[in-house]
Amino acid sequence: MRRKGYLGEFEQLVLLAALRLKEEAFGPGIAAELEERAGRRVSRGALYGTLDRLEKKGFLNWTEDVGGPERSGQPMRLFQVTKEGLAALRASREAVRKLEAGLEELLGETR
Amino acid sequence: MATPPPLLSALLRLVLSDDVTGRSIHGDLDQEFRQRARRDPVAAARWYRREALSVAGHTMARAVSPAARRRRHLVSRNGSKARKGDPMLQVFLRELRYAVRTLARSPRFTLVAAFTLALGIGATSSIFSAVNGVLLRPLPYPHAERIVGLWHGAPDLGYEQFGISPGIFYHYQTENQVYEAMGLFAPTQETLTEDAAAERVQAIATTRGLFDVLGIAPLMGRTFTPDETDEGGPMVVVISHALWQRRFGGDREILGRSLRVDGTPREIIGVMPRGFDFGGANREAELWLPLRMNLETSPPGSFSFQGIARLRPGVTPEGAVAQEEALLQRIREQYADSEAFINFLDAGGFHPISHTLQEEMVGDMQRPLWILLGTVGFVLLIACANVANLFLVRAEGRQREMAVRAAMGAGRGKLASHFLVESFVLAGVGGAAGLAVAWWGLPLLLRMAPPELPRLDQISMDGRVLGFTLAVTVLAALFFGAVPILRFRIPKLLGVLRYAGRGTTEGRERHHLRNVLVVGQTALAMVLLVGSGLLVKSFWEIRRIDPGFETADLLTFGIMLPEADYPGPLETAAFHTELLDRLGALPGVRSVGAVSSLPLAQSASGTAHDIEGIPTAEGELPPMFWYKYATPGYFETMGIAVETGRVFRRSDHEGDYGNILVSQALAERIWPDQDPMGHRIRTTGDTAEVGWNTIVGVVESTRDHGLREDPIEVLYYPMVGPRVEEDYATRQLTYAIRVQNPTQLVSQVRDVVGEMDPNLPLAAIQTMDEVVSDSIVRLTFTALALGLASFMALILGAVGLYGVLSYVVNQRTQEIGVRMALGAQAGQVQGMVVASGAKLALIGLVLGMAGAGGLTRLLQGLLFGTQPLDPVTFGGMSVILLGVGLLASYLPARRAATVDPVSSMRAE
Repeated sequence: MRRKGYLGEFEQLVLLAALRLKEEAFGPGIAAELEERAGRRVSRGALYGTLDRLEKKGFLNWTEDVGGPERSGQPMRLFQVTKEGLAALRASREAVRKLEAGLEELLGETR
Repeated sequence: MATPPPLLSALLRLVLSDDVTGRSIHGDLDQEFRQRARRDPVAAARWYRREALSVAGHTMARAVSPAARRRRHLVSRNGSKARKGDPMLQVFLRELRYAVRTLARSPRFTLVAAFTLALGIGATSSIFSAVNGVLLRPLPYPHAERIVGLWHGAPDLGYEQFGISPGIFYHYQTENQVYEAMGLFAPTQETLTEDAAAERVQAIATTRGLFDVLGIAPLMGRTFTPDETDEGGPMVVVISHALWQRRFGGDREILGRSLRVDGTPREIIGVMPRGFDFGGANREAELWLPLRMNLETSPPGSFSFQGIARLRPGVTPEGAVAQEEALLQRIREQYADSEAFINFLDAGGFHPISHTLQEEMVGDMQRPLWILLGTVGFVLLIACANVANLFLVRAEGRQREMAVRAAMGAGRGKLASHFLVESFVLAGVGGAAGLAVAWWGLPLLLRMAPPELPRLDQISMDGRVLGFTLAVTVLAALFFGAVPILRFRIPKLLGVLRYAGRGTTEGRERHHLRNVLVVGQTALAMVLLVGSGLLVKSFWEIRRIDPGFETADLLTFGIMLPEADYPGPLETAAFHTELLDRLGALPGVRSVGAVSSLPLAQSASGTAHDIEGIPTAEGELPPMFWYKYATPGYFETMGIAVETGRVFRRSDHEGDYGNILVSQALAERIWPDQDPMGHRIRTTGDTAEVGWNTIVGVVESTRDHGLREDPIEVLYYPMVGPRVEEDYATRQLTYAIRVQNPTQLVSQVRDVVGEMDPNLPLAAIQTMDEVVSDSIVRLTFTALALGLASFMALILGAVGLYGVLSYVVNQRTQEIGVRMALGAQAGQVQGMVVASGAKLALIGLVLGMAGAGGLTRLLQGLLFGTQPLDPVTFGGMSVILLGVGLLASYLPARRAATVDPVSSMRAE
């Protein structure tokens, strides 16, 4: 059973991408962001699975938008990172920072 | 706007839930696809395929993984959005697992059923692959349905269909409004020399229009320019992909190189793409030469050319024929002074004919293929009936299980769905195995198939074959899955529980369905047996026909002397004479001869002839005869008997010119009550005295055009005629050698020919027996395939009958025990069981006969010397079917007779 609050690496990346995209975070946008910024090619099956999971954990929610002919008339989901999601991201980052302390030389200087 | 691949779109709709989540995912994919398609549609389609499958896979994996189910359970308790649509999937998956487990528990049943289905489905798929490749797949030309062949017929003269003359073609081409493009061509054979070994190849001499009609551009280079196809145009050639690969190793720098064709160098200007094939003589064409002919001034009556044309959009072949008829009226006026041509038009009932290219290529293979598909359809039905029977038997044995499930609240729908899922799983296994059977069987089938079967290379397993197999599998599953469902009604099931499976003989009604299935199987098997019986009998009848010559112990091969090396009749005759001498000297050779067209293999030429003393009446046409050139020794070698006079000797082409022979059929028509010897014949239009030829012998008639055709009226000329130097030179002859073991002589023959001229290839090396089998290969193929199918049907039908009777005997063990305890003899019991089997077989036999009576008419065109209702075949096949039926009944009957009364009753 998964513990609430735990974030996998890929989940972190997805949340960060959604944050960057602000109001425009829909599936293809997130995929493009991951590919461009993080150099991660992501299969759509895995992506929607992760979005689903993040939603169930309460880290993401979405609002519905209408779709045009470009989308074959299908609706669009725009994702927002929730307060819990933001908190989880901070916690992960904090944990990483603490663990990294003293290892800067070994890991190379971070920006 | 681009549309995403429809099949995958449908898959997504099927797999994704029908809420905002599912639909938005679908929308995301479609949107991204369209954005990508603007840059690169092919890559976009590939992307969509990959991602749609990935989404479908993930979605399905989540739906079935136990963790996902638990999670969903928790979530819904927490009050979050519950997902709809899943329960159905859950139920289905549960039934699926249950069905697989049940089937695995009775492996013998599952194996037998799946094997039966695999045979039926595999046979059906293989034949459908052939039907699909030959009949359904469109030709590889743009708008192929608008390509037509230009033919003519003169039925009153006995010419059903022949080609077009350059003169008529010229007028059609310049005056019509129905064709977009037109081509005129004639098949020829050419010898290639230089660089590699000498080689005979099939070639087409054509106008440029041929390529425009087909709409196929050359792979490299170009096709002909108008001045290249004119009289005296430059010597150029377009070569086939195969020739380019074989002779030039696919050299990219091929254009502009020279190729010696029949001794004359020609510049290679183009290479056609692979598979450029429009049937007929073109099937093996490797060269296209410009026709180099002035069409306008060429004679209107030389019909040895073929025409092909592309209809303008919206014009039907019938419309084109109507216009050609109108044009022919004008053509008639133009050639009003050419008496022979006008006579020909008037006397023959001359008229244009138009077929689409597809019809032309498929020709008379259409009917045998559909018949074969129908046949294997029958086999599949019989197989399904067998599986249905097995299912029924098994369902009987599971009555208690069903009853318990019903008692615990399973509705009829639930029980039905169980049987259906089980039959679908079984059909799925059978279908998959069937595909494997087809996959392995198809190459075997193709090896057996007649080589003249058009578009053989198009036969493969494509998406349509897969779709067809899937559809057949689903139908089969519905068929045998529905049968047990019909049998079970819940109140009855509860009755089973109440009586706790006490063994009694089943009532009539309970047997009914199984008996219907067995009778149906027997009837279908009978139809197939009669069909194949008729074909086998036709085959027999045809083989018994005397072709007019002895077919055994004959080796045949063709030789073509290039004009550049052998310019005149004397040079060619000298070569042939020497070759005959050398071949005759080979050890074991009894005799040797040669002829311009071998019976059953090549068609002779025909033309009108004048007969001395029998003037042609006003408005009538002179008689048409076939003619051939033959050497001394030809008739002895072939075993063609001399009726009167003599055959050719060497002096006939060495000074004593002007002697000819005629066939018995010709002699009988022209001189029914007279001796034809000494009469003189001359080609119509030849007015010179030297044109007359004297008949010095009458020989047995041969069936040149097929064993089932009449013997031909033919005239034999010696290799050299009275005009000696100017006459036609017999460059192309087919040799026949009578020798004990024909195939062992081939390498020696090659050596002999090679010594005389190393540039001469041997063409079409065959024994005469092979020539004869090739000429009836369509019948042989159909008979063999139908025979195989009916054998399968007979076996499956027998297995069905055996299965039912065995089951009945099992069910009735106790009853039989009681009977025997009361004094029934083993023989009586045995008779009782056999009689019940025989009754079923008889009913099926009668129904099958009725069905066969209706269906064998479809075979009419294939039958020979046999009527569709041939009583011998019907009778013979009835005996076979009944015999097999009795045997199938006897085995369970013997078991019934050995029932031990004591132990059978103790079992209670």
